[in-house]
Amino acid sequence: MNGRTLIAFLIAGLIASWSGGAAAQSNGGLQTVISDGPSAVSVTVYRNPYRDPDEEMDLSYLDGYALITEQRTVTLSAGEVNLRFEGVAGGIIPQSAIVTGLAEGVLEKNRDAALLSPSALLNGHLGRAVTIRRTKAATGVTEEFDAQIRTDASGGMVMQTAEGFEALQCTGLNEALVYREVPEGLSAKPTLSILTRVLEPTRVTVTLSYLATGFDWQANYVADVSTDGKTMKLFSWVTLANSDETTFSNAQTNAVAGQPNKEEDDISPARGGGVALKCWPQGTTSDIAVKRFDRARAEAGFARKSMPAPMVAMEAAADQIMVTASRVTAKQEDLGDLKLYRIPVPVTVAAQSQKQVAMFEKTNVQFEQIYEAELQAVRSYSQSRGLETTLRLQNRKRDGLGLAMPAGRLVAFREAGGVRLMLGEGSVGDKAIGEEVDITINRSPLVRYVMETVDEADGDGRNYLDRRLTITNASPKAAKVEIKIRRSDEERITRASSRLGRKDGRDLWSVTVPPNSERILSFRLNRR
Amino acid sequence: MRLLAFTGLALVLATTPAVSQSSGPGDISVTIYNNNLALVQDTRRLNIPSGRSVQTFPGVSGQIRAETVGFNAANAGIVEQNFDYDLLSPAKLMEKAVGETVTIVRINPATGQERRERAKVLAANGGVVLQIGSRIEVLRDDRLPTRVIFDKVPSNLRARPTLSVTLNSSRGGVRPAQLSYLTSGMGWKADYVALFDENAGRMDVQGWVTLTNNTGTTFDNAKTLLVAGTPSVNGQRRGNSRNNIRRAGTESANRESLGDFYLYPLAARTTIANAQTKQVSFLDVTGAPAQKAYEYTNRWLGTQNEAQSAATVLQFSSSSDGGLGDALPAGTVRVYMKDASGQPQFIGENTIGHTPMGSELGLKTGEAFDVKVKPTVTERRRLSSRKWRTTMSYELSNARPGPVTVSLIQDGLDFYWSDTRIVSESMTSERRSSNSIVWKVPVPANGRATVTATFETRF
Repeated sequence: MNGRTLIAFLIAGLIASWSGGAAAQSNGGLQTVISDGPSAVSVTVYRNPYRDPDEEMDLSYLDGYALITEQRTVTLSAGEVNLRFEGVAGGIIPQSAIVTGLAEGVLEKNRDAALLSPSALLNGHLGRAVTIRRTKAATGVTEEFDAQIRTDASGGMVMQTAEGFEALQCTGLNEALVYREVPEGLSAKPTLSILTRVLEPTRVTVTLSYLATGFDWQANYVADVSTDGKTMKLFSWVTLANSDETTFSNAQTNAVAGQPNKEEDDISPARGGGVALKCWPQGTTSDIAVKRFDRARAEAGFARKSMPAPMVAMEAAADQIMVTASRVTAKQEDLGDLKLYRIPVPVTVAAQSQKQVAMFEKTNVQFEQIYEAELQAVRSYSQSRGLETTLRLQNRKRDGLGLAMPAGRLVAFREAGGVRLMLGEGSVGDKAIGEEVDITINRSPLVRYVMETVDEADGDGRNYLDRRLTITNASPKAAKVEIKIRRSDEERITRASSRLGRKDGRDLWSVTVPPNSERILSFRLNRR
Repeated sequence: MRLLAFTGLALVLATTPAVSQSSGPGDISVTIYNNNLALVQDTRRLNIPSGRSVQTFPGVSGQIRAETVGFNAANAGIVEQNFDYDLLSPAKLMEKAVGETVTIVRINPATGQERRERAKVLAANGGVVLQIGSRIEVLRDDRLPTRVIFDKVPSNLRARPTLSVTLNSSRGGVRPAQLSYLTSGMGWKADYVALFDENAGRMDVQGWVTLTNNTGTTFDNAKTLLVAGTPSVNGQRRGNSRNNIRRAGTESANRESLGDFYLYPLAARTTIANAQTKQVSFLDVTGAPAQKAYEYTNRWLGTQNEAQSAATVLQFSSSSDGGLGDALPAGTVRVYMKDASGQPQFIGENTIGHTPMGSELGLKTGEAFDVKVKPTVTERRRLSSRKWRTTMSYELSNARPGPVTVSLIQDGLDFYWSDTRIVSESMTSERRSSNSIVWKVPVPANGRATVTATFETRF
């Protein structure tokens, strides 16, 4: 190794030690250490608690949240340390932050939402000296002079110069404010920091964990119904989405199913913005629009500059949708009374993106196809309507399933003539092992019903309706039909032509309608 | 060419001799209440001349409640106290200059040549009308760039709302003076982190005080005291919010108190910056006993087509005997559990109210994925005009590998006439009140249980 490469090596090492964790700044007794990013990160995504199973994720406004756990290595020298965490998720819920790994614990956790902005600059210089720069329109000559700011950014700016008091933006000249420094305590983004005490210089790995908004996930199910109509292949995805501006690279990624209770979070908004420079009344004898435009252009120098772009503007919903190879399958484990799905390999949860990882695949799941409806005993259904087509699964090993099923949508397909066709789409709530799972995927055009009154009596101590329910099956297959009949507590059903069962507190007519035929239920509805 | 004018200029402040401005905040102590209210005490060393003088106080809270200001200095009495919120702006400056003379500087856009004149402001309504010598003109009628230079700023126009006190002092000299006032824009609540170990039946709890400052003012190096209580403030609602206390405690915490409110002083002085959320630890308990329980509450005549998850409830005590051993200020409890890899994961959160020591708490952390209840009204019969007979069935299922006990609560049994009768039930219930009964239903591992009951009610 010659001298030159040795020096280069030393410099490289120096740079590495700076970028490797922390940059330190001393400020009296208190030193500020900046941790610019995590060395390892884990992200656990929780579903939006207010989103129904059949509701699609709104990628532009994800209302779920995530627990983010970061390992950050920092070098600290002895004394009081203000450790600033940069590169945390923008949606951080600051009061949920937990910092562990420091020997002397955390004295204070602070989140500063005062942002560096035109108005913060002006407010921070109230009563202080600034420089005003005027550029002459005719010659391009600039002139600089000192002034003291006498107003805050709430409306218009008055400054004190050697000549007296003047107002900025009222002259029609090209004027700019030049500051000498950024006032203390302003940052580009809301920043989380902690105050700790260090007894001896140390290099430590601290764990920072926090909840952050702007994430969501759901299960997605794909059912391929076999040609016999009795079994299906059921494939499921864990679909995660991140609408935060932060990307979590090589993150241990999990999703939690179930319904953790979530309260509303009170996050004080970031402060900062533009300055509305108002002037005194500026009306003249003839306010002509064209001239106004000229004037606006002439005066544009300061006013335009001071309007920043809206801060909350959301970029296009999802920049990319990634589907990882289906060989990686999320592993399920119990987390108290919730279910945790762990993606076994580190993945990158990119900013503004959606990611899918396989959850499970079951090739031989038994199911029944049911045609069903819930009808009010007293109502007239004189127009023929299709029954709902429901896939009924028993979530048990015996039937080829037996897995926790988190909430999400299901799309059912069936092959017909060598082509995969969509049968319909439905949704599943959180379903535990052993539960019956009903997924309504469409309304059948072939299996239909009509219910009418054929006779009625009201008076002479008699009050009843004679009702007739007709099911027609135009398909070449037998249809298993379940009709729930709902009646009020004042009504009773008698003289039913078939035996009625009970389900979910309703009267139930279960019947199999043979191909290309119809079945009729008649009953009397007695009313008080 | 670059023209640098007036560098190193010493600016002359327009102050009249009788007005003295205190040098900014002094020794500050802040007492913060829960409901967006704080008491600020600010002790400064003031040079008060003998006789009448006006003291202004820059750097007080931007949301000061001026009527609550109190001022205290030896050998000095208050003559009057003013809160000026007439803010200086270009429009105000021009309005107040009506009748006064100002300097206008016209700039020739072609040559850059300046022409300076004295002008009297006649009016500032819609536009500014000027009298220049014998001419009457509207300011910038010619659209030419024109500077207006004012000789002075009226003294009552302030950059920020400013508090000023007129004093009558019997002697001159420097002495400490205390200013105290109430301000809105500051408040606090508690945030708890609970790490629950289900198998051990224990949890570790850390309590953090979270205070927020949106007053527009930074309080430097302030002695800070937090009051766990909500003093009555006119105009604020005093609602009873959900507090999750199952049984209120009767123990007194070993903390300083103010009336009925506990005090939480911060150990060290701290700077409460504007727009800052600050958290300081106040509670650290390891290994407090905690249990998990399942609860399901059914409303009267509640029927569900799909089984509903039972609530997972975390039960613990704030008692010194087998609990957290402290009074707990109101806030949010976030509960974590370790996953299979040993990493803490969030399992839910809930709020607590101000909780006396010795209380029993039950926090719903979430809904159990594997423990469900399906209530059904199986039959309803009218026995007479004032008597109904209702048969209920509750199907409980447990997909967990261990047995669980679910507190199954049937609510809504009091119809003003509380003569509801349980005709029959498949297991014995406990009547909690005239309105509700509870069954403690054991459900075997990976199994089911059914409870049936018949009620006789007015409706």
